[in-house]
Amino acid sequence: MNPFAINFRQTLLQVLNVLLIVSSALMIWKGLSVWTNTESPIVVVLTESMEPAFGRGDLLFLGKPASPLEVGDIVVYKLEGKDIPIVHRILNVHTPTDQDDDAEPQYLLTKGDNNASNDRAIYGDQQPGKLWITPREVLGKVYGYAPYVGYVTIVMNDYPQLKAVLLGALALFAL
Amino acid sequence: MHNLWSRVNIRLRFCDLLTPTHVPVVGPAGTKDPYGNLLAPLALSLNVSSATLVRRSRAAQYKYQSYFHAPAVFAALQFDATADLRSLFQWNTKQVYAMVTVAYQAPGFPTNKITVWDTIITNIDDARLMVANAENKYAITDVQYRDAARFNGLAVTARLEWCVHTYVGATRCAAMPDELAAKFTLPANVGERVSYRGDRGGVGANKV
Repeated sequence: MNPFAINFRQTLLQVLNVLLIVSSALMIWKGLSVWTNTESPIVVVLTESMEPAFGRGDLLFLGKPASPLEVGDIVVYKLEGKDIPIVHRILNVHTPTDQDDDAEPQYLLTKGDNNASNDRAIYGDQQPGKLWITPREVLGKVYGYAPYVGYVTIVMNDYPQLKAVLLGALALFAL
Repeated sequence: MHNLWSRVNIRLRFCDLLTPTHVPVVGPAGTKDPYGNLLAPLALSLNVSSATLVRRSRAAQYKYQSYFHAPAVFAALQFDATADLRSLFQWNTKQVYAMVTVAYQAPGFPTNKITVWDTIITNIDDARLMVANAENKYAITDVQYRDAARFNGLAVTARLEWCVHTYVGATRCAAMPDELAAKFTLPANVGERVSYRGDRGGVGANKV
């Protein structure tokens, strides 16, 4: 019998194994999202605006805290009309009294440590006149971080051919 | 189950690897952080020597980086601050972010807190913070910025706070204890300057 013949059952098993790995990864990711109460529990820093605390390629662990955000917290927020979230530190917090369901619970002002001025230029980019962000736009608060681990993501974004090469290599291992 | 690695592996599975911690206030003796070290900055003092309510002007807007709106009044503070933050520099400390914040209550807004000055300290040699006659770097203006009388006679509390950022792991923040915070009242009218330098030097002076 030809020792290199791959029969149908083995192929099916391989396919199922790959699907199992992919779905486990997805389950872990979504489970982490539920546990941290935020839609992106792990993000990679893309700019140097928070140096020296966070540099390009650092991995940040986010969570959505039950208690209100405070001055000094580092948060990741995403503005309407901008697809890239921003990680900066909260400078100012103002809490209004009107607490009906639609009202914003807090008004926040942020600034990157390495930036000269606050983020109002970014807020006003798509929404002119916007002076504050609110907890609604905040994806999560940074609880901890791991240096350089996320650099792979940045490299893969800058060189999309690398993604194809890596996937090809993975497929080769799965055979 | 017969070699060291599988035993270690099983132990590690029960450890909680991600522990978010936030320490809001540090007492005079410091506080134990999870690594077992005491975070106890010494020689903490914050001493506000004067406060001025500055009327709106182009110059004030540019000085305090209010490029997108024109607040009717800015508060300008002068203060001295000291803190010996050397004890925060442990093996895992990447930087310490120290800031002076001003907190107040105003009609319609029960809590307001503004960062007025900050600095980043990256190594232990620069960790003895001593600033004299510093001005606030950032604008002290309210959410309701069109109201020129908003700050008249307002009671505010200025505090020195700090956050420790690590090479890997959680970020922890703390603040000076309440008895060392500088509590004072802003001038009664826009355009006035109040000096708190009595013979004791200012609000919060000589408290150690």
